[in-house]
Amino acid sequence: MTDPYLPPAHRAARVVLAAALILTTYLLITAFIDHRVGPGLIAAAEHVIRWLRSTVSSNSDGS
Amino acid sequence: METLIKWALILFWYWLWTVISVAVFLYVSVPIGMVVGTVGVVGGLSVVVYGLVMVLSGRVSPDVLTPAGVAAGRLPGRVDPVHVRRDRAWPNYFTAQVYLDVKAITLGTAGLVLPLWTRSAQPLRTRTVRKVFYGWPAIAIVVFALAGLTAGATAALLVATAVIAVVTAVAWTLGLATAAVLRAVDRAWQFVFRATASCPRCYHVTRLPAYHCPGPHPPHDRVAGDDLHRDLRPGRLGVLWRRCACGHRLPTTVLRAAHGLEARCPICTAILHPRAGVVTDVRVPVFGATSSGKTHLIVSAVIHLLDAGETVAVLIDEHSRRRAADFRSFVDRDRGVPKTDAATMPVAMTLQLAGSRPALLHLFDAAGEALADPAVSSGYAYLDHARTLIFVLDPFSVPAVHDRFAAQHTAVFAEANPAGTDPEASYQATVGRLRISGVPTETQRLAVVLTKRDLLARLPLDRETDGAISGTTEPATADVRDWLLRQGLDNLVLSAERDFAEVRYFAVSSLERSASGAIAPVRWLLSTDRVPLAAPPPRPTPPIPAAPSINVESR
Repeated sequence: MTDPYLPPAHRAARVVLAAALILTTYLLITAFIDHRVGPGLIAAAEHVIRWLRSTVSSNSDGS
Repeated sequence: METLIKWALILFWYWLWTVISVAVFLYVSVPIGMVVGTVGVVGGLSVVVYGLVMVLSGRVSPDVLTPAGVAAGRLPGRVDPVHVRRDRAWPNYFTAQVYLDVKAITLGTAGLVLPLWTRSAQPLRTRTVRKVFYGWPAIAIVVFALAGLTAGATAALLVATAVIAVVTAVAWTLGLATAAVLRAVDRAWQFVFRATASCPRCYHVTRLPAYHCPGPHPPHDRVAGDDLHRDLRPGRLGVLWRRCACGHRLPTTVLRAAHGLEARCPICTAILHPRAGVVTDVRVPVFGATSSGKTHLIVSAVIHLLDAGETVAVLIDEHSRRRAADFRSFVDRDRGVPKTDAATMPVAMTLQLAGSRPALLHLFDAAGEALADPAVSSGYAYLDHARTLIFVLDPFSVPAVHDRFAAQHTAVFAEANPAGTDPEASYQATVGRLRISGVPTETQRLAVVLTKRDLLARLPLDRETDGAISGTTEPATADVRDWLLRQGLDNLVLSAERDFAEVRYFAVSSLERSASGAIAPVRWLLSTDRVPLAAPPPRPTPPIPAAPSINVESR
């Protein structure tokens, strides 16, 4: 279903929001590619996997 | 023994399967789960992006707050009781619709993600615990996928909401600041120029007229008053402009609205004068006894202003134009103007004054007997809103004058048609009504105008003591005051000077069209409102007749 009518100011405001979202996405992707966010996330994931493995191996050693 | 062995085998099998399943989980489910989880995260992000695109591009219709919803009270915020309800206009996007859009995106995302969880959990309800026990590493992969999807969607929603919140906060900050500045400019202008809008029908005075939308409204909108914007100030319905329900764009301040929109009274919806609310509004009630010369005074002042030309004053409404034409025809035929009808509510004669400070001058004329009747005059609300008043005093109704001259000068008295009520009684009738209504008369100014000066001059007054009144030059205010005191009206004079902030005395003849005539008290009252009357344009000098040619030869 499409809007029957919205005032131009509403449409303009939505365009502004879309532009802000696109800009934010661009900044996040740029930050990720520039190794500012990406390595942090990857390191966190590796840390979780290591913790899981160590937990499982310690349990199996104990058994 | 056999049972024992059987149970031992079962326990061993469960132990073995636990070890195997944990190993499968760690070395099969987790790696696969990482992959499908990542795919799920991307899927979740995509779901939110899809929702954003659909809502922000208008391809799906979320809950839209329309002007009808605004009028029905769906827009939060306080509404002044005088405005009845919010106007039928589109709200500013960031005051309402942005929340509805975010809500639509969130609900749309939840509507896609949550059913996946419930649909995935559906088979588990029909499986036995044993099957779940054997299949949990496989189930974990599905959980990884769904968790990734949910996490991706949640993260995207949080980021999108945060971005929208920041943009909304910036819009609110800018909007509030701009609205505050625009409102302050409006209010400061009205304060400096004493600009208000007064209704000619119900006498209501307001700083904020209602404005009629000139857009394409259906007839039932006009009948129901849905085309009226009662609070056009910058606010939730628009900061610089607002969009009426009909789609027409309207300016948001009184200063701008006054130049293109038709102003209406917010109480009775009568049409107000053009530029009401942005030019100085001077309301001058004229009161006094019946036949004291109120109407003559007003007519004479109005005609004086009109004769000065359009650069000084113009009549602004049809009622005033018609009345002025009627009066002028009476004056031109040298006939007295008809008696003011006491049965109808007074409607002001309104002039738009040009000059350095444009103003609307409203002269209210009510019948003397109506003013004397408290039940009737209580409905004359224009008396309550005036900063200046004119009290008309008929010298022929002063007992001392009557007693001294009436018997010998019956012709003059017959022509004067003296007011039947004692001046002090007619003064107290109106001023008493003002004080009972709580009107702070001590902040108002009063012009006491002695009328019929031309007839008074025909009486054999004492030239030494009354020369200023009966002479040809304009008497000073002190001369008129002294004359009133000598006629025994000291009580009236003292009451007026006690009741009002400033009192000035005039003696005029309504037949006099010069600056010392009926225009004199009006000019003074206007000057106290800082409204100088524009000078009339210079009259064209008559052409100098050509000098007769001299025939030198004939000499």
